[in-house]
Amino acid sequence: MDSVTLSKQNRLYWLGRYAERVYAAVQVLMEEYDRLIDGEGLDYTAFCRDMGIPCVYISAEDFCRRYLFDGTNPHSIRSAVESMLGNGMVLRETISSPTLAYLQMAHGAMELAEHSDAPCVPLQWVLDDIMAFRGSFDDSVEEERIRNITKTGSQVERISLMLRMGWHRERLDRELQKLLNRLYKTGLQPNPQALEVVTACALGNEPVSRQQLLESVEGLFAV
Amino acid sequence: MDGLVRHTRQINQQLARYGVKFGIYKNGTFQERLFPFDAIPRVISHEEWQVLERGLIQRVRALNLFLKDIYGEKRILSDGVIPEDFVYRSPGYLPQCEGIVPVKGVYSHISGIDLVKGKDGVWYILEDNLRIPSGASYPLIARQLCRRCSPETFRQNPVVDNRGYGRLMRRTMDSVNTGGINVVFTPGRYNAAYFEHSYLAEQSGAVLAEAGDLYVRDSTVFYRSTQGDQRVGAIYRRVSDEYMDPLTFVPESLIGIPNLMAAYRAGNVGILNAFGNGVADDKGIYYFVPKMISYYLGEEAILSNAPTYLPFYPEDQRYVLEHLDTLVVKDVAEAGGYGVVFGSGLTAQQRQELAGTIAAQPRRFIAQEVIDFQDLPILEDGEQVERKADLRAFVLSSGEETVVWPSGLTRFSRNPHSFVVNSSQGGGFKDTWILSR
Repeated sequence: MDSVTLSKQNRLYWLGRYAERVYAAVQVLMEEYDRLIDGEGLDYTAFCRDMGIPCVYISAEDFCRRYLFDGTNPHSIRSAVESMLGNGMVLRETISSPTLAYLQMAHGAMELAEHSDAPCVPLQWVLDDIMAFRGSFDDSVEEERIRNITKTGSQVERISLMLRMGWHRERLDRELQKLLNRLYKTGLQPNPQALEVVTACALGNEPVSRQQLLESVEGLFAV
Repeated sequence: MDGLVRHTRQINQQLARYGVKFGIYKNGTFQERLFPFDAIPRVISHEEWQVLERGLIQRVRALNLFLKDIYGEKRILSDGVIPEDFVYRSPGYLPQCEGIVPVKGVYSHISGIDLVKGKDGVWYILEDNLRIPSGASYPLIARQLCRRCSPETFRQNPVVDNRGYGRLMRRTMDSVNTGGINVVFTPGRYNAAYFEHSYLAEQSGAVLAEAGDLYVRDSTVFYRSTQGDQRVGAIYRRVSDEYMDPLTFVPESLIGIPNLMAAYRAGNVGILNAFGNGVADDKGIYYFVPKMISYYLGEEAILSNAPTYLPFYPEDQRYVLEHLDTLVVKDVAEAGGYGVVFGSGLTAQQRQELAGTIAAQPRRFIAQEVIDFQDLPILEDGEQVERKADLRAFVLSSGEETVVWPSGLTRFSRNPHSFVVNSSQGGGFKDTWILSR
């Protein structure tokens, strides 16, 4: 059995969250790059507001570039990639070198994208590498409990983004049920009040406001 | 070998893929850099390796006996082989270790011995690293990736497989394990050698831990697992002695394990390498290693030291001051390529100042003849050029045996005018081939 400390448990969880954040955001931004070709642009002020991040951008084009690549901005995708790799690096002996290599490659592809005049090609590699990471992670990490900690992180991030951005709301119930299923297999002890709200919502027992659900999902492991 | 050279780009891409990096602090910020790799290997013949292997085992056996003696009976001092001053004034001598005999009496489990090959074909020992020598992970992973990029090269050349280092390390840890899990203990993510710590933990099947993950209760070390705390039997620590236990050494240390020394003293945990080993790899003690070999083993040293002078001895001091322009002077308290001064590179005034410092603090320095060591070919912008290179050989000692890893870290200087090969000073590395026939 692989032994994990509380700090490693925390890193496994955040590895899942950052990988999901990067994956989802890169997908959205690739679509935005395509729209920019025709002169349309994302309502980036609304995006920042919904995401809960400061709007420091001056145009849709500026947003696409800096939200993706500005490593000095802690809210950028570049910073999320750094955090994803940083959490992976301290878990090498748990997740294995071949699995960690996919995170390293996603990081490298992000750097290439930053310096490319056609960033969507290397951005596609970022997505490919994260998908490969997930497969390799599933294959390399023997203990189900550990796998599920990272998957719980991914699931929390996915639901958080769905709620914030209104993405794929029709899949929300299913995603909440997946979260509970994973959570059960981790042996983690989430905040009981937050868990109660998430469970009630997943089972459709009582109506819960979007904000309350978002706070509960984010508050599952808040200290 | 041409195959390897042709695939240099792919090999470097593979190294980047696996994050083969080292960290460096520059202008107060931590930066990670890829460790530059040169595809042309250093090749050591079978016959040459046999001599090196015997010499390295001999040296490390003597150094282990020296450590046991120094923290025990001190016969080598009472017999006048080594002046007491060189032991008791060494910053590596730790009085807290007096009387402690580590598990199975092994002090230096993983030793890194630095050598160079002179133009005369003779190998010279440059220094012994018995505390936390780093570097094995780089040739270990590089070999794996070179084989992947150029399989034909390894089909055609009789190169001894070096990929068993993780198993060797595991065996060494198991041999001093007192019952419990094996742990690689790291200062953390922002240490210069973090890649190595995590990679070696993975390769040896040990758990990677840092401060806060381990604690001591009833003179026993435990790993704080969420599945219940687990006893720790052996710790391969990559943290310097002085930071390992704040209750014994530097009280401000936040990267150690309080009370570890109590568990170590009670024989409840194997510590690789033992505390206090710095007394044996002190640059001043280096001079005496051939004498140790003769004293403890009754043998002549198989491998030579670089011709060394100790300004501590008046006769040597006279020679050093008279020949400062041709010698290399080393500050015994420094490491990592720092504190090394080539007399030939100094102005007359700088030489005079150095001479004054040596005369005032003779114990602080050693001086060595500059060995005209063999250059090795490296590729630079597609051209083959010659650069200075050394070899760090890794010697593993368990309670049962001492073995040399059939490989090593060959580091080279990228500066054509420099002898300093350390990665922190911009150097690169090569694979080291030991031929099987």
